[in-house]
Amino acid sequence: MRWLHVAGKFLISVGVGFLLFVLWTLYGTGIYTAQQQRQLAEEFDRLPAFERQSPEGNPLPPGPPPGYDPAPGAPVFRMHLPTIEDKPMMVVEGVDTEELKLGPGHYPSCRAGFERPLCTAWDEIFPGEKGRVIVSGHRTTYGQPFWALDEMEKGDPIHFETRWGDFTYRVTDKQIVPADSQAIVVSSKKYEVVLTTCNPKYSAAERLIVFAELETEAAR
Amino acid sequence: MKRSWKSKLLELLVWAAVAVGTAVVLVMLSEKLLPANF
Repeated sequence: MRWLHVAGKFLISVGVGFLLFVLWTLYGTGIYTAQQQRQLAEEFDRLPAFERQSPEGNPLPPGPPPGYDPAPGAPVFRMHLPTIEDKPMMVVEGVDTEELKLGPGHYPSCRAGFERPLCTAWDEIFPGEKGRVIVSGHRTTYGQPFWALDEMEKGDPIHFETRWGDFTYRVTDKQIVPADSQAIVVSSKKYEVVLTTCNPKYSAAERLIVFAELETEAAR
Repeated sequence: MKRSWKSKLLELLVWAAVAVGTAVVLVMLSEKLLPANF
């Protein structure tokens, strides 16, 4: 009966492995992201504000300067959803697995470091610019930045702090689409933001989408 | 036959390695199988 003894210990060890996996997924990933968020916030706060005037003194349109191409995982702006989150979050460039471990990710254009389908064929849009800013974030793991995204309602504010100004958007709509839908990754003529995450909680069966439109901006 | 404490410790380490290995495989699988924003 020695084999039964060994098999029993093996199954107990595998069970402990499952438990460790669940603990890591629900808590360990959050600790990792919180640590990364602190570093990203420090890095972002050290960045200088971008000029809002041309050398001739003419006001520039809101947005980063031409040629602004942040690297994957670099902090690009701060986002605050006061209705559902106590603290603002640092948003990083890119929406691939590695970037979303750091915090919510900004959908980039296809260039060095970013590969299809997780990038757009057209120029990426940043807060304050005309077009669609797309931000993707975890629902259940890695700090669960969009845990309560389903609780956002029409009219709720979304604040952005960038190196070229502060912007407030207001929620206009909420949708649930199939998980493989790419319908939100389109260009737009509006000044809008789209937040996206997995739905429902603890599942990846669908995707929850929140739409918001620009309300106000303030230069830095 | 009574086992030495070294033998028992070794066995414990082996089973701990099995547990950690299982957890690592599950983490790797979850990153591959689940969408990026799960």
